[in-house]
Amino acid sequence: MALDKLVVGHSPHIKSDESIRRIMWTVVLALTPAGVFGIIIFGWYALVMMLGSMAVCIATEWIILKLTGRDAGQAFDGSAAITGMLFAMVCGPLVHWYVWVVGSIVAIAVFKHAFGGLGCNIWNPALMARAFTLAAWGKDLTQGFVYPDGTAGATPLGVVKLAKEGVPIDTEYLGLNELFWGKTAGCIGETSAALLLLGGIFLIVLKYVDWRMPLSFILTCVVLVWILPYKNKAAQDIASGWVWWKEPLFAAFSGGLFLGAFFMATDMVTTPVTKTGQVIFGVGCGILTAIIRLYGGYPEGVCYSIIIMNTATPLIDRFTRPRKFGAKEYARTTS
Amino acid sequence: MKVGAVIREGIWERNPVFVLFLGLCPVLAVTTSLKNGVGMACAATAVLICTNTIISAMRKIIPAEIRIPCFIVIIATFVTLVDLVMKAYTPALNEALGIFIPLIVVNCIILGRAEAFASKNSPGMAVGDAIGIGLGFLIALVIVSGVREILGAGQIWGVNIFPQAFYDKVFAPIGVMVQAPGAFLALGCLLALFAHMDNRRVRCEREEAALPWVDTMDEILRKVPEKKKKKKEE
Repeated sequence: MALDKLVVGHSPHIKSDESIRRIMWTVVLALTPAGVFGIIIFGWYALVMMLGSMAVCIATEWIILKLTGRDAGQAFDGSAAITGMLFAMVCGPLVHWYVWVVGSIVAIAVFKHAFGGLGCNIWNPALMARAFTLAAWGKDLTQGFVYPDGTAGATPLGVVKLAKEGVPIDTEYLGLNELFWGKTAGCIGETSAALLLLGGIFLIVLKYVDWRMPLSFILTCVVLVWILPYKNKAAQDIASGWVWWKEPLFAAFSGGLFLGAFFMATDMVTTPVTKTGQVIFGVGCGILTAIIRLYGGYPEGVCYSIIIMNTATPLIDRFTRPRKFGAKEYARTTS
Repeated sequence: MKVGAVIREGIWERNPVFVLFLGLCPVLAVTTSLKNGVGMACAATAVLICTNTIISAMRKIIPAEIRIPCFIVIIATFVTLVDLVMKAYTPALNEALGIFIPLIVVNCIILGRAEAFASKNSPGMAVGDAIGIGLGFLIALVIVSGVREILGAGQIWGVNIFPQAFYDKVFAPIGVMVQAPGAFLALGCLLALFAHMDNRRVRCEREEAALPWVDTMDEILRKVPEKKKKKKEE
């Protein structure tokens, strides 16, 4: 009898209570403050979107697991719920119902399960769903933002984009205070930098997230936006030469930088494993985001930068493979 | 081998798109609507039938060392013919397909059939092969472009499936499906579907022939937990 309890097997031999279910639902918990804030400023439709997307994601996952003959209980491990919640949080508050329904189905069915399901997907499903819906129903995702008082408006970075094109700007909702606490226009979950920071720190304290990743991402992006030259004079105060949108804190608090850095660039499946790799990943994301923000066609680049770096993750993992204990030199080229 | 068998093989077992993966460039690029897909398939089939016939008839006088340049000259001749005919009689379609009509010259279906079939068989067989492969290409393009047009534009052959008010108020078509990413998504999903159907067919055939079925890795993995359960019960 006693022999039955002895397990002989591969490492790791140290086991803990952590499970996929626990980690995933903790991340959902960490996202909740920002989500609740989204409901407060954008109304009940935000709640419908978030819960709806989670339900659609879980249902899609359940059906696919059932069809492929795997354990359908995995659908409730929280990974599908996170995908749904994150996807709803990166949608504007006024998108049509089909945008988040089809987006959630595509996120799970195409961008997760076509690659083999949890742990096998190359890209973050929520971000790919955003990219897909952005390509499919562009107007829904690039327009239709509202300020907390209900009037139509553009996101802070959208205003920057307009300013670059010479459109006069209204800075009422662009103060650092408004941006930090989230009283501005934007996607449901991205407005409140403070609450996202809170959730992010919660995850870092629990060690579900390594602090290097978000820090390197945000720092790189902010510094690059600050120092890189931008020649269009329309978007700056001509008298003093001061470029308000290149302020470091404005760059940090506007757009989806905090949401992306804390909750998407730290996805365990699609980002590098080692600490060095994570820093490389973060810096890469920061560079791409800054370049897209400054010179790109879109106002915000967090989504595409993370997707592009996700693609590079296997390569980063390969070149940051840790040295085996006792080995002097290791072959980088062996697969 | 009979001509009928050659035609049937071209449509299903040797379908140029879904089985041989040839000519994927036009399949991805011009299948934005059913009209374009059918137009492309017809143009390619017309070229294929002509080139297969001529190359097969000339197969004994073309020296083996320079056969590829010879094939290309013959193919280019017919592509130019088709291009000019389309410019004269279907200018709108020609405009829509654009560069992909001249590019039939380098379409690997045409050169592939010339090299693999027409240069080794009699003209009659070569025509059969061209018709089969052409039909297979047509079917593939109709499926891909049909799926993309229905999902991406909500239309079939340029006609709305639902009234415009439906698209404005209830459900807008998934625009990305008629753009470049949609081509890859649609083709990938269709290939997965056909692979699934083919696996099933092979399995049925084996069961009918009472051959021992070799477990795929998936099935072995699926059986392991079941065996463990049985052991525990014992």
